Amino acid sequence: MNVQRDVGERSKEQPDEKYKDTDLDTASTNVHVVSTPIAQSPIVEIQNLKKSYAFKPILRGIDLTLLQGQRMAVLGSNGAGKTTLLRILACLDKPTSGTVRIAGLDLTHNPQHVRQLTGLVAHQPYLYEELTALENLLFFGRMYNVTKARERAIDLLQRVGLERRIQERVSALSRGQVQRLAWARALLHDPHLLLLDEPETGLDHNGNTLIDALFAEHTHRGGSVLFTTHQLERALLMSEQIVLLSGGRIALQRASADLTLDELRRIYSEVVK
Amino acid sequence: MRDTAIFWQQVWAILWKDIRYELRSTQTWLSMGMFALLVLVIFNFTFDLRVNNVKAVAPGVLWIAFIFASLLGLGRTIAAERERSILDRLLLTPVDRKVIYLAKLVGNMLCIGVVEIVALPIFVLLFNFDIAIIGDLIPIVLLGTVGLASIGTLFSVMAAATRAR
Repeated sequence: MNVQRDVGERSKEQPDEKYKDTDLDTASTNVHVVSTPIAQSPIVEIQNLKKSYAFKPILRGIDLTLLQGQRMAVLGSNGAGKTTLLRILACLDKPTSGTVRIAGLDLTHNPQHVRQLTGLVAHQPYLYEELTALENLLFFGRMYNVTKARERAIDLLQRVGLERRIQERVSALSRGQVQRLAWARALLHDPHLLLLDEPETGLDHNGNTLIDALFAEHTHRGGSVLFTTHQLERALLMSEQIVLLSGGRIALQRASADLTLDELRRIYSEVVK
Repeated sequence: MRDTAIFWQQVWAILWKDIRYELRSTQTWLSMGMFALLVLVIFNFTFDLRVNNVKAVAPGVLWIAFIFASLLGLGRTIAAERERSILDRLLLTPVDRKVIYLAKLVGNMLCIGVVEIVALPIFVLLFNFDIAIIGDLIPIVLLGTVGLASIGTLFSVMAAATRAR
């Protein structure tokens, strides 16, 4: 990976060359076809990322690389900077300093294109309570310019088990159902990178099984996942890479295969005191 | 050409969402309408209006009713997005910021327009004007609405962003 590439020379209209085969059309997302990339190229490249809110440092120099098709679990105590990291990757916050690239696109220079590539499931469902489940998905479908949005929305509602709630307003849905709908919303435009902030929140056993399946389907199609969780066992099971944040810095970054649950628990308890 | 089509499609989507949202909650339009009517009625009863001074006072009353009712609505349109971080959801999508502004502007114009349609005939009745004056007032009110909504939309977003509502 050539990290010295000149961002200014890169086209602001298209993502990196190596992603062209993924059938990404930023003007119109074909949601049905996403082929596997040529090789495992980086989908996320973060260099010396710093973020402060009102002079209070939250992230103090993060360096991360996530490869296409990989899943990364970000662990850490409350306030470690996990959500801030995800918000920056989702273009909801700007970095104070440092470089962040998604699919080779600089996040600060190409936010529009980066937004087309990412899907976010967070603590907030980011749905409109007075609209029905289907209306919400149709609205976001138009925002992401998804072709055949209605068919896609209905497919996804069936996939997340909400086919009987299509015409119900979000305000009438339970917490778990809203979370399922948030998943459908995040997957609607078939993003290359899924950003999940404690995705299991509010879900029952069936819901957790469902998101495990959605995880698998997404990565099988060549998509990548960066997720935060407090469940260490789940982090080990669901990821190829583990990152432990503490005080806005990376305290541990290792392949999940190289860690046992006991070892991870020990490191976690030592770091998060 | 395609970008233009997408641009207007997204404007329409946000506008459609806002209208549907408002029709279901009806909070903004009802409160704006009630406020405008109250202003017209209260001014009509409190001012000592005679034939020779009504033309001097009435336009001021009408614009006070429209402007204050609009402020009520303008604040709410963005506040509704701001609540529960829903504005983040809109900002998260790959939509041009101009699209959001234009959709909110048209939405606010519609909102103010509905209030004006209800308030104008009542204004004419309360202040004893000839009903034909509505035809003369429409272009002026329309231009005023465009000005009010375009500046009001911008400032309501800024006010919401500063959390100084």
